[in-house]
Amino acid sequence: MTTLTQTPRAHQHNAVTERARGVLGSVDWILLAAVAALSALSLYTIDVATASDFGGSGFYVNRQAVFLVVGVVVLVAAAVFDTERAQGMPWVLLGSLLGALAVVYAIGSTVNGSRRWIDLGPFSMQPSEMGKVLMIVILAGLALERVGEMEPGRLTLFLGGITVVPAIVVFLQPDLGTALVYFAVYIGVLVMILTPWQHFAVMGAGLVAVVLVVMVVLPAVGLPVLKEYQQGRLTSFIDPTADPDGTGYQINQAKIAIGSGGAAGKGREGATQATNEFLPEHQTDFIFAVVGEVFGFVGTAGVVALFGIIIWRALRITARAATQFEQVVAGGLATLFIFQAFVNIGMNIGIMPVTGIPLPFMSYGGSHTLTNMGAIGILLAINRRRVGI
Amino acid sequence: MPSRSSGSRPGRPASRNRSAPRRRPALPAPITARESRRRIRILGVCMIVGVGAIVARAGYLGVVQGGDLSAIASDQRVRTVDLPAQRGSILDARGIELAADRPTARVEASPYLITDPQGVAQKLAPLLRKDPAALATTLGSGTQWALVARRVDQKTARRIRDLDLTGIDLIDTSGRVEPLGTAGAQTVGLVGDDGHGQSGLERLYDDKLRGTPGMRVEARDPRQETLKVLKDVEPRPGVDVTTTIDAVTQRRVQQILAGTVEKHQATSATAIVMRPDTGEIVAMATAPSFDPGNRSTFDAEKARDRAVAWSFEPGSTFKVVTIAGAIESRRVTPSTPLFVPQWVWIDEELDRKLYDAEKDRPSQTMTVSNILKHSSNVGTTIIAQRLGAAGVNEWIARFGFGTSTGLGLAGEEKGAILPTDKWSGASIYNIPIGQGDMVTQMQLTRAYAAIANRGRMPTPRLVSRVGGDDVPLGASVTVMRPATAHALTSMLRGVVSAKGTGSEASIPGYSVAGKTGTANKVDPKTGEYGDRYTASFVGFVPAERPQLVISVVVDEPSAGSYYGGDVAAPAFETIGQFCLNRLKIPPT
Repeated sequence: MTTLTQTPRAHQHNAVTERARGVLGSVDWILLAAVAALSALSLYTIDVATASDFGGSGFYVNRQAVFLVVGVVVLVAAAVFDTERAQGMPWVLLGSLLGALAVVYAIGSTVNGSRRWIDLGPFSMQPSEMGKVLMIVILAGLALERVGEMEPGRLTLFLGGITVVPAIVVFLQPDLGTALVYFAVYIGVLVMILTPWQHFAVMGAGLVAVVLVVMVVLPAVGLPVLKEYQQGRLTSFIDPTADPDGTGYQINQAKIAIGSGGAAGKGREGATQATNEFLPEHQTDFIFAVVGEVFGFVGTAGVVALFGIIIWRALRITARAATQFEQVVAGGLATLFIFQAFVNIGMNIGIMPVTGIPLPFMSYGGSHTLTNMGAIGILLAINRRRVGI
Repeated sequence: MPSRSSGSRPGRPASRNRSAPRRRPALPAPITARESRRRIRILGVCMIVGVGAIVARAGYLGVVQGGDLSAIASDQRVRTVDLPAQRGSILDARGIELAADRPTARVEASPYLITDPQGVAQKLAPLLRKDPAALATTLGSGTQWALVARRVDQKTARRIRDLDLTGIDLIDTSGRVEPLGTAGAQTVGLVGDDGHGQSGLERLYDDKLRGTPGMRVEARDPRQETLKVLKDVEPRPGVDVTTTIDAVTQRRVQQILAGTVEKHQATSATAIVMRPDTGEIVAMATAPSFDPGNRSTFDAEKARDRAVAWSFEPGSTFKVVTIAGAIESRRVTPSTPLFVPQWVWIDEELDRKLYDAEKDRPSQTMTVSNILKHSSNVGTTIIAQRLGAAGVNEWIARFGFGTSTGLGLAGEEKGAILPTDKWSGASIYNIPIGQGDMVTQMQLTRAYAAIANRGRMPTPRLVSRVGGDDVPLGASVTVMRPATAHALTSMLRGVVSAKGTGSEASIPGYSVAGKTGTANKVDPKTGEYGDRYTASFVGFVPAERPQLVISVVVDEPSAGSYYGGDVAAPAFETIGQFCLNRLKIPPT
């Protein structure tokens, strides 16, 4: 082979290689490594938690592995896609989301009394999960069209009105957790578009007032709004021992699992709370408690540290975003991870009410894995475009 | 740290700086880069606070509370189950069960789960032989738990299970069954709900019969299904206790006594059948009895084992003690003639006289043998005076009265013997004829066994084997020379002869030796002798080579005669006849 002649083809080849090198160079490897570490831990923990379930752990582990593979495809697709293109189509996206939710309402399948899924043969899809990321993109797009033109108070109300519609539909499925996530990303977007602090103060005061009225004042005067079990679920985290077999059961079992794991954990064989079904939902909402029992404080602190890394990298990407739209979207995604991780882990360790929000990258679930992988892909895309590749 | 002012980043590779972004962030008026960075930093602070809170809380749970929560985890998961040991059986001499454990069931209800208490009660009541109305009340109480029945046999339990009633549960238990029922129920005894023997042999041998309970420690899942057995200590079953009782004889004796109680409207009738050489008790029974399988028939008086746990004034059966002493100490011989007046003064000042039962017997000369044969009170006191007060009491003690028989059964009494220094002037007229001192029937039977066994008195024996170990024979003591015993036997044969007081006890084809007793009872209200009596007969067969000592004591017969010869002697005869047939002893 001679090196004296350079054909145009070879030159072109060099340009592609160059671009590929640039793309790879723009990848946030630290972020990906943290996601990969959590995903691997997720597979192992699901295996431990479901080993003695009916049918063994194979079912869950194999499916989660498939979800991860598809998730990586979604991640790469999102990373290659120019996020900015989504800025111009908020109404289309909102329409699609509401349409998908309408389909769920019409033909969705019901699991545990909740209608959230569209059945696709061996798998099912949960549009409300995808909605978590879509809502960020929709709200960011709608907000930036109006920032500087619409009076800030009206803009906050307008975006709130946009959020309420899908949130109510999801709440009625019923899926309180996901509805709360929609409000969380709404707050995240408001933060990123520099909504005045007074708005948050008013919303906070309003939230406290509503909670007081619904949970204290109205029941006291004989007009209960929530059913007793609903109220119990929301308040039992304050004192789960008050009703350890009832509403406090899940929280209590999660605390027992984490606590009995001690500092260094009981290992796979010793994790009797998680594997013997004392701990409910051990492969989904309460997987953090399984980590606590198997790996102890070392494990829980490790998981929290990995989330710290993911959120740190997400905020770093936010700070460096090339455009306002991308910055708002990246900030929304960071908020999404902060909120979901804090609420889920908080519920596991007994400092938050049980709301049914999964732990990103850890909990078993297809739509939720795909959504979070997609979110990471979008962050990578934003990171890539900041350096103009 | 990125610089705050612009997108140009010092220290970045030059190649990157060259390829500038397509659009610089030309932020519209309200959104400034500076403010955006502040907000991002605030999100960062939120994250750090959240991570800090979570790590602190997780560390608190895992490190500080770890021990407590581990204990709760283990409590939830680990259950300790007590495994009761199977109780040993009580067997008769040939291995027939007198008491044994059988699988039974306890029926429990969760009334709060029962929606139709009337309907459920209608179905259950006939199977359990209970009142449907009372059962419906229990089942309709709405409580968490109620006991419906215990000791339900397996067949009934299966029928109840087949009904498949919601809120009705059957728990496997082990129940005591006593195949002989009322026969010997007092001696066999009862086992309490706590698994401990409460009375009789069940209590006496409780520690042997009960065995050692085991224990199983199990790991369970939330539905209480056993996942793994962590520790398993098998219960050690109790050992069997083999008695000297013959179940067939026991059952028959019980029937005979029940007939005696019925016929004479007596308070009770008790019999002991004992082998004179070994002291082995072949049967001991008291009527009326109770059914150990049906606790509602239980009452403390019926459960009392009168053979050992009842003292009474023996009356004339006691006369052999004085006469044995007088003969052994050569004060008299059976043929010594004695002048026996019609009556003697007991207390001249109080104008109290002692007559024989036949008050009109004239004053006459009687041999010692005839005194016993006719059960002469006056004649016996004359013999007693030859022996002296101390001599009489010495012979009472020699025959074992006032001391335990060594059986060890609960409630066994020692009797009450008046010490010589407490004797009054009247005692020499009362005590030798069996009024004043109190004895148990086991003591009386043992005393007659000494006569039957050529002067050697055996230790009564009810248990021959415990587990694999033989229980050694108790020591026998020499009470008198064989010649004395032989002389007494001849005299006691006279009692049962056609002209004797015990003629009703004679068994066709066999020689019987024995003595009647009719003791006047002290009325507990007045403290004086009243019109109630204890009728008895104690004897042995065959008189030449005694195989069995049989005693029958009938307390307070109230219909017809109250004499031992009329009330107790016939029962003796029936029991003797049965036992001789059972032992295949041919008539002579």
